[in-house]
Parts: sequence; structure tokens; C-alpha cells
Amino acid sequence: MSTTLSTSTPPGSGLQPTTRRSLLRHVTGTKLRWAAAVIGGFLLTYPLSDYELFRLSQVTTTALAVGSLVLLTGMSGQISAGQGAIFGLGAYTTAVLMDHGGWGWVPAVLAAGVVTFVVGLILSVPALRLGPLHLGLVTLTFAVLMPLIATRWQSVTGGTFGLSLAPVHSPAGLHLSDAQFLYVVTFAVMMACLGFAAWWTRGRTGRALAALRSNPIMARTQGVDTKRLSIMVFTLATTMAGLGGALNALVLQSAIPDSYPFVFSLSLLTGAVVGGVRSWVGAVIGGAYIVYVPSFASELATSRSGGQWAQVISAALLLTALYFAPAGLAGIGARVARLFHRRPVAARATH
Amino acid sequence: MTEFVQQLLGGFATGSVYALLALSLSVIYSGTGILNFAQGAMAVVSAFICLTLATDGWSLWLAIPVVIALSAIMGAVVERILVKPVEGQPPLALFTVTAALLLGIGGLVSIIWDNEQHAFASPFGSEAVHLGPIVLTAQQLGSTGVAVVVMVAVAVFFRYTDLGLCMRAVAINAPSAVLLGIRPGILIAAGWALAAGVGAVAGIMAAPTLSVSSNMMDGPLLLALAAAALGGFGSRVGAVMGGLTIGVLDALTGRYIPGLSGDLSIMLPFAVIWVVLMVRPLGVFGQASAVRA
Repeated sequence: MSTTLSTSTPPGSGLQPTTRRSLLRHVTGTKLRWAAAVIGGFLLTYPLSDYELFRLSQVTTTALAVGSLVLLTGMSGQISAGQGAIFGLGAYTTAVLMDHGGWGWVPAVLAAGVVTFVVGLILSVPALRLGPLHLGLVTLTFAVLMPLIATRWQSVTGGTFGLSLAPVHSPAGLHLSDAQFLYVVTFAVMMACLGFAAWWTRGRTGRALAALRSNPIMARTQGVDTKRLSIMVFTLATTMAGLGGALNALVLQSAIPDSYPFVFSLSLLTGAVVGGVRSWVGAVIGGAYIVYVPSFASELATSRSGGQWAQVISAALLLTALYFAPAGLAGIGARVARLFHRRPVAARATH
Repeated sequence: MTEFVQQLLGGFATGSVYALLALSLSVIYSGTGILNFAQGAMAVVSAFICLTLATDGWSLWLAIPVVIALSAIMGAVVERILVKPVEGQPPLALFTVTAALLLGIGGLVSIIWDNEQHAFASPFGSEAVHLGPIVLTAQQLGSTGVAVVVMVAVAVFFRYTDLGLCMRAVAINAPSAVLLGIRPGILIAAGWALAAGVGAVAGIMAAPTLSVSSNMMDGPLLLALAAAALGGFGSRVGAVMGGLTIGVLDALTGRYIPGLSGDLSIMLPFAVIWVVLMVRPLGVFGQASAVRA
């Protein structure tokens, strides 16, 4: 790849310093790309069938959870193996409020955001004390515990059968089908969350996060308030995953323990690594990966061992990404894009 | 009182399995800084191979050493081919590589064998042994005995053999070990081989009680992780002590705290992990230099 890159780039251009103008162009380019993504995403509402939109709504909501890992792991270097449990917590909060409390879906989703925000604050206490591996271990225990509690706490969670949610209806004036409406909502929330996270991790905060990731002590000596930053990152990531779970429950119209097994937390991590753990595009790719790959795998294999083959394929892809594409599929895409641009890519804050 | 002692000894017997698994975890952790979440899955493979050999008519006393040797080779191969590329990389890579192994090995086991539970005859027979009022099964006594022998052998290996001493040198300070002419790559592979061998013993010793299935080691792995956290991830003595403590605690809480039996008994290792990591992240036996991550 690198040899192709050097032959297609005019000699010397790789050494040119990033000028103010190219930086400006880079920023506008980024804005353009975000705008294109927003418009493109909304336009998908019309040509696709309701079933395809249902699948896409699963992708957008799962992408929120993967995006929370991009923020947490990719940007700040902390590992969470329990993001699936947070996702499930968001789902159950919404389901319980709608089912037992008779809440509307909008306040129920917002409440899930608040609940997971508070849980994120609480969880950031161990996050401050522990190294990445130990934090991974602690969050792993939550991932194992979550489905167990959901099964056992029958009076609230409905036990093994879970809770079913009232379908979300499209408002009368919009002329959208229910599936179209839900897709638009989940897509808008996803873009808003990813956009906010991308904006927040740019520039100053991005550099502080990079310092925190590579060496916390060094970051502190450089005047970064690592404690405050860690708490903010952790809380923001947890809220994002919780909102994703809440919307996902609306899409699936249910919250059952089987949707959030321990392996789901691991597959979120897989999605983040395969998609690209420091890329917001990667978060969406990761979401798509988690939603579509298992069904592809089950189609390839016999139905009996389909799930197992999906697991093996997932593991193989994960290892392949770790060895050959540490920046994930998004990283490969960026490298290909760079071949066509023929200009040095402006240094990003996320390096 | 008799029942308390009974529970205590039973706890020691199950705890010896957790201790072995925790010992494997700590050997790999001190060598590479990796917390091997796939240790249980690797032990399941060993147990399944042993089961297959036994159903093919092999004597268990022949099958067990063969399986341990095979597992050791498998451990070294996994390390050399699958884990080596990410060694020395940031924690995320170290974490995800074992998560991938956990997913992959778990899936392969279900595909090659199945998801059923298979009974596994104890190599020590099914008699009960009466020690005064206390009754232990031959399986409990035998597996504890084997575990103790393996632990002593591992201790002797790290204390008195050149290979063991070199492995400790690499674990304590890899760069200066290299300057002394030690090649860390081979030794890290040897560490994985040792860990897989010890894990195989844990899997086979647990098999008669838990019966062989693709998820038989999920619980023991969590308990072993708790044991390793309790003792300190890099400490072998800590791992063994932690394993025995967790085994006894598990037996006693399951018996005397009403809500914590059945699937909720998993709360115990989790509580241990949370408390230990919050209060003393190095573990009871851990030393600062032994912790890399």
C-alpha cells in the first residue's frame, strides 16, 4: 500500500508543511462530508423498503454503542467490555417506563439517557483508579451480570420473556410510514451524537485526549486535567450507549435478556476494532458489521451451527483487523481516498 | 461444625481447580502483560480432546498426559501465530486478541463437538472416602492431590530450572534479559505452553464434576480471574492462594447465604474483583514491578 502511495504522489509534495489554506480546505471538506452524510442518510428513507429501514435502524442504534467505544477506547484509551450492558440498561429503562409507567417514547428515551448518564458518572470512579486492562475486567463483570439481573428481577424486567414496547407511530402530518419515521429519528440521534462527539474531540480536547491515551502522567504534567477529562469521556460514552440501547428497544419493540448477552459486549468491541476504533465512520461501519455479518454467516452455514460460525468468522475478522488494519475498515477507506487526493493529509487532532 | 468442615474441604477441592486456572493466567500475565480471557476456552478444548480419547477406548492415565502435552503445544502455537503480532501493543490490542480467541475457540468447540453436556468418568473412581464424620469423594481428593502436585512442580520449575529462571527474568525485565543473552520470544511461547498445560489439568480435573461442555469453564474462569485479582495478577503464589480462598468462599457463601446459591453465586467473584481492584489494585501478593498494564 505504501509503495502505491508514493508512486501516485508527486515528488516532494509529501514534505510540504500544512499551510493555513490547506487546513481551511480540510475543515470545510470535513463539514462537507458530514453534510453529505446527513443528506445521504435522510434520502435513504425513500427508496428502501420498511424491512430494510428496520435493519438500518438497528444499524444506527448499534452504531451509537460502537461510537461510544470509539470515544472511550479509541480517543481516551480506556477499555470497556461492558458497553453491551449499558446498551441493555438503556433499553430496559425505556421499556420499563413505557410498559409499567405508561410513558411516551420520547420522555422514556430521554430518561434512559439520564439514567445511563448517572451510571456513567458512578462507573467513572473505578475508571479513574484502574489501568485499561483492569477496567476491562471490571466492566466485563457488568456485561456478565446484566442479563442475569434482567432474568432474575422478574417483577420489573419481565424475566426471561422481557418486556414488549408499544410501537412508535409516525405523526400524522409527516406522511412517513412508522418504519421510515423511526429510521429518521434514530439516524438523526446518531448523527447528532457522533457529530457532537467528533466536534468535542477536535482540537484542544482531542490533543488532551491523545495525551491522556498515550501517557496519563505526561498529560498531567502538560496541564491536562486528566481526572475531569476521564469523567467527561466516560459519562458521555455511557450516555451515548444508553441512548443507543433505548432507541434499539424501540426499533425491536422489545427488551429481553437474550438481546444483551455477554458476547454482545464483545461484539461491540469487535465492531469498533473492525470498523476503526478512532473513526466516526468506523462507528457506523462497526454498527453495520454487528447487524449484518451474523445473518450473512448463518446463511452461509447450516442453521444449526450458524451462530457458531458467525462467532468464528467474527473472531477471524477481529484478528485480521488487529494484525493488518489497526485503523479498521475506515482506515483502509481513508488510505484509498488518500490515493486519489494527491495531497498531504492535514495532521489531525486525533493522531 | 462437621458440616462447616465438610464445606470447607469441598471448597478447597473446587478451589484447587480455580487455583490452577489462576496460575495459568498469572504465568501469561507476567510474561506478556496479557490477561488471557481465552484460558477457560483453551481448557475446554483440552477436556474435549480427553473425552474423545477416552470414548475411543484410551486409558485415562494414558490420555491425560497426552492431552496435557498436546495442550502445551497448542498453547505455544497459539502464542507464536495468533498473539505474537500484537505483543507490546496498547492494552486495547492485548484485550481484543484474547477476546477474539475466546469467541473463536468457543465457536470452534461448538462446531467440532457440540453444545451438549457430556458426562466424564472420574479417573479416581466414584467411591466415597470417610474421614471420621467427614465424607469426601475420591474425585475431590484425587483432583486436589493432582492440583497440589502440579503447583509444586510449577514452583520447582520457576525456582530451580534454567528455563524457569530465564522466564522470570523476561517477566521482570525483558530488555535487560535480552542483554544477558536470553531470547524472550521462545520463553514467552514456553510460558503459554506451560499455562495451557496447567489449564488442561484444571479442565480435566473439573470435568467429572462440571461435565464436559462448551461453556463448562465460563464460571471457573470468572472465579479464576477473581482469584488472580485477589492474589495479584503477576503473582503465582497469589494466584494459588487466591484460587483456594475463592473456592472456600464460594462453597461457604453458597451454603450459608440463602440468596447466593445457583446462578447468583456469580456475585461472589464479582464482589471480590470490585473490592480488590478498588482497594488494592495490585492484589494481596502483588508487587508494583510485577504489574505492567
